[in-house]
Amino acid sequence: MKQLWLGRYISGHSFYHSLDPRAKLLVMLINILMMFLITTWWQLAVVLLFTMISLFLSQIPFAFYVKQAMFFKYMYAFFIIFFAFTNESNFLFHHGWLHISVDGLGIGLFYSLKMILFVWMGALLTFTTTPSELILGAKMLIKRVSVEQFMLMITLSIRLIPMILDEVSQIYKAQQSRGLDFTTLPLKEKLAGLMAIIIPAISNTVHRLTIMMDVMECRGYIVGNDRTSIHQLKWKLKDTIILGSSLIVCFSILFIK
Amino acid sequence: MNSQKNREKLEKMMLIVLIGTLAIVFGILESMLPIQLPVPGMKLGLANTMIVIGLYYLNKKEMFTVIMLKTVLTTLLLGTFSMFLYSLVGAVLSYLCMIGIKNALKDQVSVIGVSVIGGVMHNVGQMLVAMALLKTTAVGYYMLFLLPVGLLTGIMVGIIAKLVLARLNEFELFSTHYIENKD
Repeated sequence: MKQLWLGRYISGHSFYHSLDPRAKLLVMLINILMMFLITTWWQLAVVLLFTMISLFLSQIPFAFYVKQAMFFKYMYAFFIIFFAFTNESNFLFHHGWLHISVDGLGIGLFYSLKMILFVWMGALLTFTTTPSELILGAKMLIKRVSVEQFMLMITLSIRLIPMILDEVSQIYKAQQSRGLDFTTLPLKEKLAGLMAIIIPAISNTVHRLTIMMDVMECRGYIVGNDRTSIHQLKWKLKDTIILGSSLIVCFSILFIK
Repeated sequence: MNSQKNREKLEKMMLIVLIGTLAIVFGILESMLPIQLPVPGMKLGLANTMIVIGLYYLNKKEMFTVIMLKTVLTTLLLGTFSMFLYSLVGAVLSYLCMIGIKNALKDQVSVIGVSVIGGVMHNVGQMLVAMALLKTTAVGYYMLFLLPVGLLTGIMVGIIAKLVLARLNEFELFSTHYIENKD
């Protein structure tokens, strides 16, 4: 359970925390674009350096980033092993049909590093920005009524998830005390046993949302109308700097071979 | 203003929130339950149960909102932004295929059939992103592991969805928006 929430916001007062969520979102988009452009070790090195500086600016312990990157550990292992055995040049070891290629190891490592970079860039955004800031940032970036409604749904959902999660774990414990035991049942009965959790959870959520609906109606909420926000974002010089430097890195890797 | 119409829209909105939220909650719940599956590292994909169920209550556009809601929220809450592209493409592809097969075959395809297509296409979508991102087709061999896994989880998700669907019309919020016969 604890591990699941690892990627969440980590509070702090660093340079990166104080940036405008719009700037961070745009930098994220540029980063995704950069991932498609990287094809050589030199380009990777430049982006790695840029990312490392950004990670340093966020003042979040490096261990958090390492844990985040370990999410894909099987994928890295697959890349390295796959390319080491299938690449047909520069053998480290050769015996019959079995061979290990140094070049292959290199290629596997390259792809793994690329993946790790991608993970870190994403982690940088979510570690330093609260979900509500992110929503506000996205809302300001795309100003349209339909988006407004979508953002309201996200806000509602964010509030609901912890509540329902608590309820669900309570239901699970209650059903356990009534004899539901997932460890001993055969697989098919396990699936049927899930019903004892799913149906009460749906029932509770329907109840909550029906109340929510009545409350919104009472307060005159009209679906699809334009709304104003109490929080406003201010674009500062440092936002321009971070966006500019990320653009420069993006363009520079176009010229590095 | 036409309050009846507003109420209807509000109900639809709540249904979207409900399905999206429960999909995420069940996804988290799954990691809490001691359900061991035959293949190590394989996830049941309880979240997809709600998506399959949603197909029987919401229209195409609303369902698309649910998919977006689920993907964006998972990204925001679990903080795995790197997964965003993977889950988005996987979810959208699986959704398109599910809705396609459901509309094309109508009554001839069961809930389980729809869910199997969804499970398999989800993995295919993720592999496509990995191929584009890493510019190599070697990742395709990973499909050899993922295909049977997707098939198996698809069947299990389908069974659960079928069981849940049989009970859902007891709730007023659901029964008023039911689209067509299940089987």
